Amino acid sequence: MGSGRIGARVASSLATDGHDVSIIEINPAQITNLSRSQVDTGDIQLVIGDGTRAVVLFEAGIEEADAFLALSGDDTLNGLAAQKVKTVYRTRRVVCQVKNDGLRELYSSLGITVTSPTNLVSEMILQTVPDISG
Amino acid sequence: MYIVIVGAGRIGTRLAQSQLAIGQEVFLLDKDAERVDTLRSMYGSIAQLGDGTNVSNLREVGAARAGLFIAATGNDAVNLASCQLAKQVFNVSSTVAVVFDPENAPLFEMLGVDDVVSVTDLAMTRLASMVPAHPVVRLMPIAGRNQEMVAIKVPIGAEVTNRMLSEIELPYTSSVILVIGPTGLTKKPEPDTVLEGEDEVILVTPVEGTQMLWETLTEMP
Repeated sequence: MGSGRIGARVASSLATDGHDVSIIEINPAQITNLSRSQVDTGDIQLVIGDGTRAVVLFEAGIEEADAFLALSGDDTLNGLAAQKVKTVYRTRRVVCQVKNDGLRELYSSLGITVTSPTNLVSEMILQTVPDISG
Repeated sequence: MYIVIVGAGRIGTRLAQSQLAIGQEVFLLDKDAERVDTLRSMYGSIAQLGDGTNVSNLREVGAARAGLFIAATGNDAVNLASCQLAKQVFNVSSTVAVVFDPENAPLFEMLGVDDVVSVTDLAMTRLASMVPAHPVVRLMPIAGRNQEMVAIKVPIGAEVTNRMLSEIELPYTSSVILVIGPTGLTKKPEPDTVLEGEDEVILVTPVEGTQMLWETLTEMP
């Protein structure tokens, strides 16, 4: 869910590795990040709609999904979609991208794998300068 | 009781006004500076600029001592997240989320929100009861159970008319509470109560049985 820069890159890599990938995007203007060739060949199935809605999740094939990744730029939409998928469809692996610290703790306590681009990037920067990080 | 309301839109503001009028202590949190300024100029310091999904903002408005926490923004996802934070971080005993998408209502309850108010379902209940040949009118959910109270009007000539309640097989564990005749006369549901066309039947039923119940009571021969 979410075809921003991160979602589009993740979808592209997973499709290249041979996984069946559906990507849900709420904003039709946002799909320019996606690889045209992968969408045209059907390696990535594009579904335009709100990924927190059952009808959209169904169209994206949630019932057969092994993993669901909520990677839109909206923390609470990611959180709602991730919790719905986990509770209603019992999808095994659910990942949710969250910027807000409080929500990050909340969602991880619910068994959702939480990622934060800000944390990852700052950790990587600190690793490249070991003298500073200690 | 101290009541925290996230979202000072139409619902949040009206709710705050009604609570202030009966002497309750109310505080509103909203992302829109103009709304907050208007409220403060009218009622004093009862509103603050902030985000209901931000733990620091929730702490500032005293979420920890709230007896009731109501998330009433126009965004279902924000309302869920706010209530979950109020519950988990601040141990608020009673949280309420307003939802606009009816499919979110049962999910939010499963995810720990104490009460969910589905605006669309409420409007549908009123609207459906205004249509002459109405389908099922959902009167109210039974709190804490997967049951609801519904009203179903028996059409003239339906299969069930002129039959006693004891002869009608209702699906699941549905039970008739009251039968209201077309003139408004009520009939207590006894085994020998006879259903007639235009009778309004009030029942309690498991939510998943509602559709089948409607079919049973409206089926034509």
